[in-house]
Amino acid sequence: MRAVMASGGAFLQRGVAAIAALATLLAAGATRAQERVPYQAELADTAKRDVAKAGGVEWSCAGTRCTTEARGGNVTVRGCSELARAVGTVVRYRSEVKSLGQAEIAECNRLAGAPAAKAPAAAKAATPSGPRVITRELTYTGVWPPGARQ
Amino acid sequence: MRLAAAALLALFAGAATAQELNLDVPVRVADVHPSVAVGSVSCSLFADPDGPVNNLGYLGAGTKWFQLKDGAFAGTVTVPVKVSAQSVPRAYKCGLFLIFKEGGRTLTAAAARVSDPDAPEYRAALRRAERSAFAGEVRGTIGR
Repeated sequence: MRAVMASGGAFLQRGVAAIAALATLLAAGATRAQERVPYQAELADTAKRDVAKAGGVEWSCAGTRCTTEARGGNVTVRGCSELARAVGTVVRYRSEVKSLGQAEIAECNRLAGAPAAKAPAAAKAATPSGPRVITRELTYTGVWPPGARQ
Repeated sequence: MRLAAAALLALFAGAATAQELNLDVPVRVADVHPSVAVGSVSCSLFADPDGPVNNLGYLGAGTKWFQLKDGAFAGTVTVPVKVSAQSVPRAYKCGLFLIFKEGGRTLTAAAARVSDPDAPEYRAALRRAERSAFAGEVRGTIGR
């Protein structure tokens, strides 16, 4: 009987350890999902505005690129279409982790009522090939002309 | 003839043992002194996730220049970094540099240092505006 109880105790201990390990894994996953990662969108033409709210976050646009940071790194056609509606036709939409495919980009622009991207191939040719990583923004504001800023 | 064949072989071998990773770095620079006409972004890749902090697992680096117009630049600078085909980059570090003329010389300095009154590279004309957002260096991990 004592042997049976001892073996049962060991089983219980192993079970508790397994549950604790699972909880740790789940917590790590949740932390990762909360991480803020860079997002970038490439447009067919110069952005209609410098700042746009889409997909629940604020995007900054300069020329044909828009960037932002958001949690998780997931990309959705809905988020893309909101951006396209605000700044114009999107030819590429991605985060540090994921990106939309060509069919999803076409759907994104269709939902936004933006004209379809005419020359994604030309846009691709203009940028170097190979794997890409989007980083956070480097920012510097100087004090020229003197007196303009404190 | 034999030499040319060896050179060609070496060239192809080199192409097969290198890979290029492009880092898209958003850059926003404004109100910069007229002595600065050009800026640059330099990026390094590391095999160790903590490499950007302790330089462990350094794989290679690349630099891309950009032209300032009226003391400003806003856009994305794509920095290509070549590393060997076998290496697996796990982290990156990118820094903003200002290239400026001084006493007939052309100098390059990290924006973080040239704008910091406590750094030896400090230039008063290039100090950063108080209460302005500043990020002279960005770091991150690659792949999950």
